[in-house]
Amino acid sequence: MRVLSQPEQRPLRQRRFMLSDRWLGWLLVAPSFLFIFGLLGYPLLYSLTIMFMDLNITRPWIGPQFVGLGNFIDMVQNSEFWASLGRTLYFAAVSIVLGTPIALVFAIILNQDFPLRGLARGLMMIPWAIPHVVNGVIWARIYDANYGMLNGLLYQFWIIQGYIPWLTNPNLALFLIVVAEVWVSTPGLTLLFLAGLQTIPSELYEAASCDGAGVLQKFWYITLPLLKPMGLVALVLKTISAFGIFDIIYVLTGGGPANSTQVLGYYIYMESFKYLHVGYGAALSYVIAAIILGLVFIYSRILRFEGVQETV
Amino acid sequence: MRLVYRRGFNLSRTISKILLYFGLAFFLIYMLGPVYVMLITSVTPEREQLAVPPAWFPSNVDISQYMNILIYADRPENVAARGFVRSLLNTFLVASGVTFLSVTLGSLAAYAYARLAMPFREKIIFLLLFTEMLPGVVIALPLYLTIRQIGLMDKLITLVILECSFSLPFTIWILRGYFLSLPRELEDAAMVDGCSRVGALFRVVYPLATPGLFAAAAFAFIGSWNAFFLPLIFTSSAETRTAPLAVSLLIGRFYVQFGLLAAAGTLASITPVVLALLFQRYVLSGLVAGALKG
Repeated sequence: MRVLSQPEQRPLRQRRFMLSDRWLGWLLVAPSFLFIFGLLGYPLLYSLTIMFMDLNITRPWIGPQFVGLGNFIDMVQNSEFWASLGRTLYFAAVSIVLGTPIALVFAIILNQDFPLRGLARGLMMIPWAIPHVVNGVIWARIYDANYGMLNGLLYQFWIIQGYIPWLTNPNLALFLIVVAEVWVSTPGLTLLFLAGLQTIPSELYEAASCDGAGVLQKFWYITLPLLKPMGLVALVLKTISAFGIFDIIYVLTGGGPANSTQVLGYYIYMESFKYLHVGYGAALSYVIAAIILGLVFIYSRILRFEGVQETV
Repeated sequence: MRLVYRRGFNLSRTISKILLYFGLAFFLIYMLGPVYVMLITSVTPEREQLAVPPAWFPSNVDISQYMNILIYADRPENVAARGFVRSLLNTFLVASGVTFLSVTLGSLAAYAYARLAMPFREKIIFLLLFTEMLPGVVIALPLYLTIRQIGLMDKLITLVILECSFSLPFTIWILRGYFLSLPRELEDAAMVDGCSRVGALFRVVYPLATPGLFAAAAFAFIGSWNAFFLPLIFTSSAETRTAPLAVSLLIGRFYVQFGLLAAAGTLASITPVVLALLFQRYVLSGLVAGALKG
């Protein structure tokens, strides 16, 4: 009210608007933040306390014990942790190596002019829209040892002599799951590259044609370099997603055979919910969250500095 | 000279046309082949299911598995199919709740971050991105301990609330992008004409942002419909089972009943697939940002 009495003050109306805008902003974001940071932030804080403990859920007579860094020491010394991390990175690497070329080719096809192009783009969304569990069911049918489609196809074309039990082979199972996951994630990756292709000005291609460049040269010197930002985005997002792979492994192999498909996400699930190693599970979760934080940081840098933000 | 040039041009055009259609054929087989496998498996008669090599084209279309799930689930021999219709209904209820909450609450927050001077804007947006990317399994354990303690396990409302907190970051992310793409001048004009900011939001921004709201709603609905990990952890009884969970339970107990499994899978997929195709135009743009997160 003291402010009111000063005649040289800026118009009151404008100041009140500024103030109310700020309060309005908080009012608008409050419900969402209550959901997001209440329900996701609180567990992270809670984990902070239990990851230094052994809750002894399976041995209730001992009760919760403070173990300090014990869970982290267990983790570093546990070969299964390192094996799961290795499988996760293998998963990410193979799905990038297999998935990126397919998606790039599909994006180039869908960027051409042909009749019913909209329909083709729409049909592409079907694998994305089907629940992951159902995708797992489909691939379980395809990979089935006795009656599966993959066996049938290879057998009919004389590629294999007899039926092969694909998913019970520890050397093949994880690779086959990656193949299934590549199928599921092809639509998203294709659309990413399609968005990248559409930002390339057609003048560049016309200029290159005038200079006598062929199709391959145009692809090599124009398309690929200009798709680099999208490629980086795909790289980081695929790596992040590898840490969250769960549904399809649960359905197809349950982590087996002989733990050969147990990626980190599945490892946390088993430790936390099957063996009830609660403190250990929380410590694992924190390590994964930290890795993902780092990857998201890289991702946000790419978005900002490579100028992908506008297209994504 | 000019003639030669044009002939060469046409030849390479023909070649690239042929290449394009080969590529398209591969694209369609690749994308739809596995879907076709599910569809034929669901309508193949029982005795042909176990054919070696598999029956690529079933001799006749047998819809008995769909009947077993949808109509005759009460019969004793169909004990596996029991409760599947209920699970579809549960999934629909949960997904509707999640969609409603995410879009109403998320659009308000998205507007604030698109138009108002919010403190720590960049940091908060980064945090949203981080929570969006965080796999459910990473925070499930403490959530599980808490929810069990306050006695909210095995309730549909718990699923709605939890899935909401997972879908909100993405909803805010895409709606913020959409609001930023709208011309600011329209709101300013409304406010000059005496509309309050909230009035401008409801009378100007929301009507203009309808496509964005549709996209956000389709994403929230499909994401919730397809959710598997949260229902797996937080529900246990048949009354609260969602469709993906019901499908996964069929695998465990009746692995060789391919027909039943495929029919259940098809029924669980119809809603999200139809929605994705209906809202295709709206969803495609958002998919680029969101589909890769797993």
